[in-house]
Amino acid sequence: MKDENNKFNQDLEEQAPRAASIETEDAVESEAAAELEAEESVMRDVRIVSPASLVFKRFFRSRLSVIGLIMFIALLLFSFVGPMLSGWGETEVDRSPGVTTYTPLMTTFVGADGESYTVVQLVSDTPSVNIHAPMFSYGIKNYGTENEERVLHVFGTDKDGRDVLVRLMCGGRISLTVSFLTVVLIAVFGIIMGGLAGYFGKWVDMLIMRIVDIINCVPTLPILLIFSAILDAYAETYDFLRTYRIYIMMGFLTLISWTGTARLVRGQILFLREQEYMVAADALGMSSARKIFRHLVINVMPQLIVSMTLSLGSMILYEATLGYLQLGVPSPYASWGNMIELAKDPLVMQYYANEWLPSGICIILAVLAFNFVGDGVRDALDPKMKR
Amino acid sequence: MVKYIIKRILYSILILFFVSLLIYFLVRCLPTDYIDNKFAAKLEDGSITVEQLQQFKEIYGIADNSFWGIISGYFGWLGNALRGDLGTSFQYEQPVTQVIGDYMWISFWIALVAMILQFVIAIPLGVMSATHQYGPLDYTVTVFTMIGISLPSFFLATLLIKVFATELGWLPGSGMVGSQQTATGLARFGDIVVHCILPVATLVIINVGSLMRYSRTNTLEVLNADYIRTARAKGLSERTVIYKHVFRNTMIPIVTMLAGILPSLFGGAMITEEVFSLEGIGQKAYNALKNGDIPFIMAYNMFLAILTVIGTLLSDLAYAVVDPRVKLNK
Repeated sequence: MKDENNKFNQDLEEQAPRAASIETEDAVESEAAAELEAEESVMRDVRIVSPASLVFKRFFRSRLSVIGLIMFIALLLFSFVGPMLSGWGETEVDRSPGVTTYTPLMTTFVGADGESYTVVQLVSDTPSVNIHAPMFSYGIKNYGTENEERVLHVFGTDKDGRDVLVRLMCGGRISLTVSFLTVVLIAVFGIIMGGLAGYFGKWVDMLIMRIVDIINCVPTLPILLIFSAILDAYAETYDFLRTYRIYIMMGFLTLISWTGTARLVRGQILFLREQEYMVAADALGMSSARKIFRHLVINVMPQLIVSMTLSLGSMILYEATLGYLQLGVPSPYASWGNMIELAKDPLVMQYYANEWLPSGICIILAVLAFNFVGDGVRDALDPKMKR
Repeated sequence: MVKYIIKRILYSILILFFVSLLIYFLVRCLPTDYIDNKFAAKLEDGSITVEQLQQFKEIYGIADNSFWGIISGYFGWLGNALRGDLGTSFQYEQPVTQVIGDYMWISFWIALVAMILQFVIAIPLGVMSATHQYGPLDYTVTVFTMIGISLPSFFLATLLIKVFATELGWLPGSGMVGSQQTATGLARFGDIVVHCILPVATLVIINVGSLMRYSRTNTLEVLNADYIRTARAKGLSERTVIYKHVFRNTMIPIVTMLAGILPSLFGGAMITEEVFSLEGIGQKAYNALKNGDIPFIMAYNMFLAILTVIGTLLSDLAYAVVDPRVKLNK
């Protein structure tokens, strides 16, 4: 009976296209056929558009997300290609004598003739290295050696005579790398924990969610400060702790920020676990790992990508904050945060805005770019959003 | 309901226990502690001996740094804490509760004013940009709030100090009172208010963005709801629809924000206070953290943890109250 049915169905399917083709051949000139053809061509067009390209299309339709993407690419080029084109090195000091400054020193005294005199003395001060050079001034590379070279300081130099622009680029390199690494780490950790909790349920879920609750109650910044103090203490004996400090700190940050991702993944998996295709996967006798990673995690990916892009921005902010509190990249090297930290010196804040303002703008641009792209991706992935 | 609340409270106590254990362990992991730092110079010139130093540490209860030493130290702390004695701050040499009580209020008032301003600015803007979705107003508001979200607090604070304090000279850039101020009463109060304008502005600009986005998304969701279509179908004017039906319902999810509000109201803004050198709880905590002042660190972090726990509980309860569809019987 069942076989017969199948055969009947097959027959029908075979007949259908034949019938259609006969119809089109017979009535070439009729309007109905033309309409059918048009419909078919529409069908063909529709078939070409895969879900992925639909997402792309929707993403590029939004102006803000394209702007975000352009900003992001520009920043990537700036910080990864830029240092190669720049004439200065990250920690290279411009050893040419700096700009001489004259400070008037006025003294008033009453002379023997009873008149009061004002004497103006100009105190000149020439720094031994080219510190606080103004924007677009030239410095001398390899000063005092045979191959001296005049090289432009686009954003001037900082209080130690190092080129601001190239430090900005290198700081960006660190910021972007570190935030990417952290976000990926958080995602991996979150997927594993959330996946385990959501898939196995029962005591595994209970245990993991309790850990999440505990971590959520721990205040982030104070804990990071404690971590960094511990690092500092051990850095005296183990030197690599100082060199790779920012990476270790961001590792700690991962340990306290995976909870959001884990919650997201768990929630989605709890929902997806009840779907029909998971019943089918069960019936096929798939292994747990295959079910989790091939079927469940893949379906969480859209939400995950959105939250990862958006959290890239906050990771940049965390990295900068650590730099500002001098807990990040160690001192001769640059990061966006510790360049702003220079403005703690009131003199730098008031007179040398070129040394700290650009890195602040870079941070804003980076975070903005990630937020724009993240928003764009979210709107593009959401099938409910139709414009 | 009562059963649920009791269950949640017991559960919160368990969480707090583990949080305090975790923080205590971390703090005790510091190899050099407050005592070592404080008496380093005296130890150098020989005015005290290593034995005396060890005695000091015993008095402070941090002598034994083995695992069991830390455990017993923790339970000592816990026992005292449960009796209401959170210890004496090493650094400020006063009972910790008194230090927190003294410096909490300035942070609280700054945070409160900032928060009120945030709500007043963000919610109407959010509703407006949702009702004009994809219009020029929506884009402008979105871009500006995005910039607000993207600003690091220390950068914004520095920028505000530069522009308004050093360049224009309109407002004081740091501290709580003017340097030569000996005024009392109303004049002193006015002076403090003037000093708090820039910190409040910093907090508002940084936090207003996320709140606005939140209220915009909520409004968009409500605008698509069936009852809004019904309201329009009844022939209500657009004004009534938006201000009576949409606006009220967008307020519902905002109660879930209670969870985050409590700690930020009382906990102080560490970095902002540090940049503006305000004598608030955040700055005190920052110094305590830098100097390894264990009782203060413990008390401050537990204070924040308790506030977070209470905030979460309150927001869950409030959600059940304002949205009758939510049931609390888990």
